[in-house]
Amino acid sequence: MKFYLGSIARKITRKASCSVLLLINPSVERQPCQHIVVNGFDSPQTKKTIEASFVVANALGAKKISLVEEISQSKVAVTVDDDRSLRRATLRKEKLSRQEQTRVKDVIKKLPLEMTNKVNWTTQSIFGKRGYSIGHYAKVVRADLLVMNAEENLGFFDRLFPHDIEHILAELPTDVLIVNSNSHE
Amino acid sequence: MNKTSSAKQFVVDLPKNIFSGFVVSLIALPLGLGLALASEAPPIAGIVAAIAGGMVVSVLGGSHLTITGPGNGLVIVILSAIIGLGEGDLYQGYLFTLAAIIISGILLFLFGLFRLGSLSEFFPSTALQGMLAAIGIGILAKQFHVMLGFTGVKGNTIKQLALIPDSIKSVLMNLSFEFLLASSIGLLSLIFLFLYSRIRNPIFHLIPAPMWVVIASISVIYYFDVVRNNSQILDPALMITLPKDLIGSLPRPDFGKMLTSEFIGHTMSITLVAVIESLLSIKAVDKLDPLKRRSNINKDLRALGIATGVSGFFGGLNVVTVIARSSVNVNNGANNRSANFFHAAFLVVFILLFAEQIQKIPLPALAAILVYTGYKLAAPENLFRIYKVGKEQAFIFLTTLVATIITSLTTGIILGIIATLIVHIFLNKSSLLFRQNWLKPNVLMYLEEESGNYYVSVKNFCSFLNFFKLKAKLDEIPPTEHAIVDFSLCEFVDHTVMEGINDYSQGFSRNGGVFEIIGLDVHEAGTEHPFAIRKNLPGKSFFNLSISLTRRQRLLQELSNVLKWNYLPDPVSNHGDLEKFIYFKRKWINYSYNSLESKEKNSLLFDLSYSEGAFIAKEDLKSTFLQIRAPYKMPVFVLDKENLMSSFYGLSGLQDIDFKEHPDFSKRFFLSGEDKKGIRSFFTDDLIFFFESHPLYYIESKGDSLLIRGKERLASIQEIKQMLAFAEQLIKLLKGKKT
Repeated sequence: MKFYLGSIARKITRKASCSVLLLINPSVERQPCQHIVVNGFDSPQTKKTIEASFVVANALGAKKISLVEEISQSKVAVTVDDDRSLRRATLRKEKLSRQEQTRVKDVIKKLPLEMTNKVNWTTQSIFGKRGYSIGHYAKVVRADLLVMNAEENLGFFDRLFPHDIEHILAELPTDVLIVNSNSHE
Repeated sequence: MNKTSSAKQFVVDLPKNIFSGFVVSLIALPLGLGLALASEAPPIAGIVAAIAGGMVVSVLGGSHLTITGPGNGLVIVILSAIIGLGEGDLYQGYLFTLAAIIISGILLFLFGLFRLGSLSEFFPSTALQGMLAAIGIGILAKQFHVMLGFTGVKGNTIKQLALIPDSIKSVLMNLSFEFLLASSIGLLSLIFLFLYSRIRNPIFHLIPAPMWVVIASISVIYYFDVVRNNSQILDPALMITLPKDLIGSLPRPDFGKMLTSEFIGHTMSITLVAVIESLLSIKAVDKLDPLKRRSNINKDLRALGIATGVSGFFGGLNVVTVIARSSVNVNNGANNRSANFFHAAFLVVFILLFAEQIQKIPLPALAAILVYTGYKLAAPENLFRIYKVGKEQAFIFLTTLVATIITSLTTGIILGIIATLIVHIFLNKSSLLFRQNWLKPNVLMYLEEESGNYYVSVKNFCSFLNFFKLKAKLDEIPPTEHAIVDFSLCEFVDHTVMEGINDYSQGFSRNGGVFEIIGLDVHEAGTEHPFAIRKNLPGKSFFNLSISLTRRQRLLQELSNVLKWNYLPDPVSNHGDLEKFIYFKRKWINYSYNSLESKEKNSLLFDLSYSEGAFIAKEDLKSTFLQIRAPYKMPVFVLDKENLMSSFYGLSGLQDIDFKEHPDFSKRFFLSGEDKKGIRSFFTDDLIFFFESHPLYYIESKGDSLLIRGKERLASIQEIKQMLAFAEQLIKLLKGKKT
């Protein structure tokens, strides 16, 4: 099933200075929300987003949260040409994903315990295009809700060359909650 | 491995590589001369290309076992450049073309520098094969006349094809002795080339077929020269001429036409074909590498670019990676790049020492070699194989083939791409899927943190248009790991992708990893996804022969009933741990069929289809094997008939283990293995006596199981019974030894 976001809805999603929740299958009967996928990449907004996702999980009774750290391919800085560069790239990736995991785990440790202990959370680092991989991942693991950071300053080129949240808006793999943490400040 | 030990290993491997380089140079010499002549360039141009290629690419390249030199594919483009740019004057055309070659070398270098190697994935595999077939027909059409002794036939491919009956007729009409001699040299050479792979004699195969042709035809010419005192038995136009002074007569590339659109067009098509031919060959050779290394494609392209520039400067043709010579290289035991260097070095020696003999090579013999290569490229089997994949693939193949012959190579391949696209749109009944998702990322790959498996999910569609994206991700997975590719979110998978994925799957199983493809079962059920069901995937039997059994199969079935074993006639492409046997190190296993398995599952008899070499040098073989589980852990060894070949193995580091007290056994058998002490204590007197008193089999142990093979062909029922009896007694003896 494909979803189409009209131009007004699109504009609201982009320009709204508050958080936005997009539902792809609105229904009167409540559908249980089991699994939430949250972005965990390195950004000042991420901390708030992760916190928000735990709040939502507790409120909706979701059992599982996956924190996905998207790591840009350019960070690996090794192109795989032959066996030796493949080995180097693999080692470097392992190191990067370890770093990212500790960073995300640190964020969660700082959250109040009563918030996190009811939810089963895991981390997953993905090397790939930011914004795109998480949407594809949410689809693969059949997540019910995807929680993303809001983006700042979307210009004309961001629409021409879609990135981050634009990929998600183009395909809407699941319900999406865009957390705008700037508005609280 | 540290520096000193790898240097030591290099020295240890040197004899193997020198030997292999020598054998390859024996093919490279006639092919180099022939390919240059076929493109209307001076014969030495091909040798210059091979020498430049060997010297430069072996030092700067990024692949391990490839041989570089003048390529078959380029004959047609270089020919049309020489004729087109020369406007009647062939030598002037050659000088202009040299400039085009130098520029294409620079372009090739830039291709490698900007890592554009992966762009070659953008060509649908069927269209590429159609293009190669068209090149083959082009070579065949032109050289057929030369093979019969006519050098004057001009015109495009279609015209030349149409003139073939005329040439045959004029041979039959014109019964002068010189004429008959020329055409019979050509024809006999061609017949010999076709029969060569049928003769499975290792000593005979030590010298490659093209060299046999050259040696035989030179001796004929010498016979007339010396015995009959007739030094000009053949028309001088049918003989090779080399420049007297090699250095002094260097041609000067003429950049005069550099800015004309014609020149640019020729340069582009030369570059395009050079890139395609090289990348296809590098990929194919990587599959044959016994050490399972991965080539650095972009580094190799840079080296090929430099080599082409050097070659063009010295009057040579383009340097590309060539598959036929490379697979001969692999088969003769080369294991590093130095073999390529030595092949070039031997060519230098040949040119300096045997210039006079080389000029005795009659053109019909060389033309026969080219007709054979052309035929191999355009063989009708290729079309049947593609037709089996699907009717629409045959359509794409024929479109590209015809378009390439009628127009030019670049137009042909572009039309091939368009035809493929149209077929895809037609099969989907809409172009929406492709238009919407072409430029979007569609591949997700991550390391599952719980299981440690690599998971790859592909979305929307996956065809030649975006296969490079999937490939880039798959290349990042070490082939020793467990990879899962999921197509369940993907609506359309084309033939190019299925073929590419199959290569990965085989690469993983060679390296001990696991490559699983999931999510395609859904596609098989749906009628709108016919591409997905085409390719054989591991673990599946892919075509059904059980409808009618042959006589041999019925006898096998009866035998299985007597023995109470299980018989399965169907081909199975899941061949377990066979690849771990040394015998299959340089061979490529296709599928096994007619398998007989004992109830306890410790003996398995099967016919196996496997191949040696790749592409036009590929030889498909079928033999019967028996694999039995060893009663206990045995040393790893190979026991084979002692022959001339085994003394060459001695040269390449594998040593024959001889027993002083059993001179007869040592003389008849070639026994080798790493663990010499273990093997010596394993081969006790009664075991040696057993081998001496029974028929000779090829026997290999890999520790936990034994592989037994009779002759290098399918065994008859009688032979199978003997083999089974032999194995039974052997196992009994081994079990007795244990207690």
